[in-house]
Amino acid sequence: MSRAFIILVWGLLCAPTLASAHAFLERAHPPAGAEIHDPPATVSLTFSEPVEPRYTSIEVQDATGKRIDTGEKSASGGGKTVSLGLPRLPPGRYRVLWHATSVDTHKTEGHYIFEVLP
Amino acid sequence: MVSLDIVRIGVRGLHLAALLAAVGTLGFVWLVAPVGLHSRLIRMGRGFAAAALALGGIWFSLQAAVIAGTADWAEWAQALPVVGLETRFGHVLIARTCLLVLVVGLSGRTRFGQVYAFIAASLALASQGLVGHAGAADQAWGLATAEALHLLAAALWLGSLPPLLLCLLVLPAHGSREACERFSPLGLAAVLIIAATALAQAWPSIGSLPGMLGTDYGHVALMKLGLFILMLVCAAWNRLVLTDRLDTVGADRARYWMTVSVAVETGLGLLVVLAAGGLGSLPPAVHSVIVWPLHWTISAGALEDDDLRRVVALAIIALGVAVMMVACGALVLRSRVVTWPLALALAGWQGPTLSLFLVAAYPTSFQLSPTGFTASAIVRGDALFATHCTTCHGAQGYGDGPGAIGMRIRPADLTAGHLWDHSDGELFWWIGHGIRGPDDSLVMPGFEHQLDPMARWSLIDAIRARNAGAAMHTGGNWTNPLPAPDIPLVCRTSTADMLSQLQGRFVRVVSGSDSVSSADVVTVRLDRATGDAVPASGCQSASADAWLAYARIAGLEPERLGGTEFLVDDHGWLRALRRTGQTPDWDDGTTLSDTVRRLRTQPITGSFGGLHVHKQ
Repeated sequence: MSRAFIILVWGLLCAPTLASAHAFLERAHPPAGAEIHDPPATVSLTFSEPVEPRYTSIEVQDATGKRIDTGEKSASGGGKTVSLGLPRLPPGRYRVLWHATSVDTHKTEGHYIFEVLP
Repeated sequence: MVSLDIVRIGVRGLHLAALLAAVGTLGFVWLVAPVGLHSRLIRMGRGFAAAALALGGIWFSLQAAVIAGTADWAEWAQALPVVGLETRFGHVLIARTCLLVLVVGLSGRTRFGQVYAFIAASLALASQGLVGHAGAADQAWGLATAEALHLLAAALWLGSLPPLLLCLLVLPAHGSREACERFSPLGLAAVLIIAATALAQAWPSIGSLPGMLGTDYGHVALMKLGLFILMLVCAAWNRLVLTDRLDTVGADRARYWMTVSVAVETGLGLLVVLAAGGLGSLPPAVHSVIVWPLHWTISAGALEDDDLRRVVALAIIALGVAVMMVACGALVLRSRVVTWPLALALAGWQGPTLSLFLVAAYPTSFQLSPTGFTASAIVRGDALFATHCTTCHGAQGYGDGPGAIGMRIRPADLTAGHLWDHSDGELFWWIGHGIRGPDDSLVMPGFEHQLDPMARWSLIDAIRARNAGAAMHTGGNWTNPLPAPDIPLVCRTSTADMLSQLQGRFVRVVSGSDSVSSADVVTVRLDRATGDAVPASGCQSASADAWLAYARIAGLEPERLGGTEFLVDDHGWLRALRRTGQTPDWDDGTTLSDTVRRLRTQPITGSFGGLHVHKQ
C-alpha cells in the first residue's frame, strides 16, 4: 500500500510538464519580420497550446490597413495550428493580427509584419 | 468589466465548493457516517449537488460571454449554444450538468444509488482539470490527472467538513467521537495527496522563488498555502487534543470547541477553494512578468572569492554552533543560563556576515527579455546605442566617450566580462531608471521616457552582442554562453522559417559562400543580397539584419564577414567560429562530424541574460 502510494506521488511529481495556460504564438508562417519573394498561399500560426478555432481569429491587412485575406480558416496540429487563406499577394508590407482563445478559455492577442519582395 | 470578472471568478469558486461538498458529503455517507444519519446527509449531498448545478449554469453563462466577447444581451444569447456545442469548455460543462442531474436523481436510500451518485459526482469534479490550466498544457494527462486527484482528495477532506459538523451537532458524545475517529485516517490520507498533487501542479506553474514572490499568481498561491496551513492547525487540534475529550469529563466543552474549530476549518476551506478559483483565472507565474518586491536578493557570488569564502565558512560554523547551543539549552534546562547568552553573542558576532549573500535587486531583476535575441533586435539596439550611449560609453562601448571626460565615476566598460554578472532584468532597470552612485546621486541617467520597453530590451541584446564580439576579436572565443541570433530562413529541405526552429540539430551558418552539405548538420547560408538562389540543400537567410548581427558577434566589420562560419549546437548555442582559411576545414565531412561529436559530449550548462532559462 505504502509503496503504491509512493509510486503514485512520484509519478505525479514527474509526469506534469510546463503549464502554459495561455496560448502564446510559438511559430508563424510567414515568420514575423520575414522578407520573402514567393507570396504565401496561407498564413499559418502555431500556438503554445490548443486553441478554440471558433473563437480564434486571424486577419491580414495590406499597407493601407485594408483586410485582404480570404477568410477561409482551418485548424490542424491537434488544435494548436490555425491557418488562413490568402489571395495572390502583390509585393508590399502586410500586417497579421491574431486573437486566440485557448481551450482553458484564456485569451491572448498579437500582431506582426511580413513583406513580400518584388 | 473588472467587477464582472470578479463575479465570474467568485461564481466559479462557489460552484467548485458546492461540487467538493457534494462529493465529500456523499463519500462521508459511504465511509464515515453512522446509519442513523444517512438520510439527512444524503439530503445534504443532494442539496450541494443542486447548488453546484445552479452555480455551474451561472458560471457557464458568464464564461460564455467572455469567450465570445459579447457586447450585448442578444449576442450573449446567440453565443450560449455555440460555446456549449463548439468549445471544450462547453462540452465539459454539459457533461458535468448531466452528471449532476444524475447525482440529484440517484442519491436515494439504496446503497446502489448512493455509490453511483458518489461516482457521478466524483467524475463531475474530476473533469475540472480539463477546463483549467492543466487541460491546456503539453501532455495534459499528467497535470489533469494530478488535478483530478487533488480535487477528489480535497473533496474527501474539505467536502466532508459540513457532514462532520452535522455529526458534532446532532450525535451523542460517543457517536461524535466515533465519527471523528473514523474520519481521521480519511482526512490524513487526503491531506497527503493534496500536498503531493499541489506540489506537482504548483511548481510547473510557478517555476521559481521570484515567480512566487513577484507575480499575482504566486501571491494567490501563497495565500492558498497559508490558508491550507491554518486548516492543518485546526485539524491537528481537533485530532490530537479535542477528539479524545469528546466522551470524557468536560465533553460538552470539548464538543463546543470541536464544533467551533470544524466550522472555522470549513470557512477556511471555502476560502481555499475561492483562492483556487482565482488561480485558475490568472496566467501562471512562469508566463507572467515578475515584479520583484524586495530591494535585495540572495546571491552565491560571495563564494567565488577565496577570502570571502573563508569569512562565510567561519560565519556558518559559528551560527551552527549557536543553533546547537540553543538546542542544548532547550534540552538541558539548567544549561540555558550559559548556552543561550553565548548563542546570542555568536549570532550577533557572525550573523551580519550573512549579508554577504545579499545583493541589490530591482523590480525588473528577474524579468526576461521578450526579444528572443533576434538579429533584428540586435541591429535595432545597435542603432539605439549609437544615438543614446556612445557619448559616454564610446563608439565601441569601452566607457571612453567624449561625455565621460571629467566624470567623477567613469562610465562602465561594456566590453568587460563583468557585464555577464548582471541579468537582462538588471540592465533593463538601469537603462530605464539610471544608476546611482555611492552618494545616491545619478551617475547614469535613465532613458525610460526616451526608449520604450522593447527598445530597451533590444539595446541590451546589442550590448551583449558587442561584448561577445569584443571577446571574440581580442581573445578568439566567446567567454560566456551565447545563443545564435535568431534569423529568418528559407529552406528547401525543411519547413523551418527561423533558425530557432532548427533546434535539435547542429547548424553551420556560412557567410556568403557555398559549402559542402553534411548529414550531421544543417547548413544555413547568409546572403547580403536577396537575389541569390536558395541552396539546393540547406537554408538561406538573406536578411540584412542577419549579416550585421553575425558580424557584430564575430567582432568583425560587416564587409569582412564573408567566408566566416559559425557552428550552432542542437540547443541553439553558438559553439565555434571559423574564419576563412582557418583549420580545421569544416568542408571535410569527417572533421565536421568529429567536431559535432566532441561538442555533443560537452553541452553548455550556463545561462544567458537571466536567471531562468529554458535552454540547457
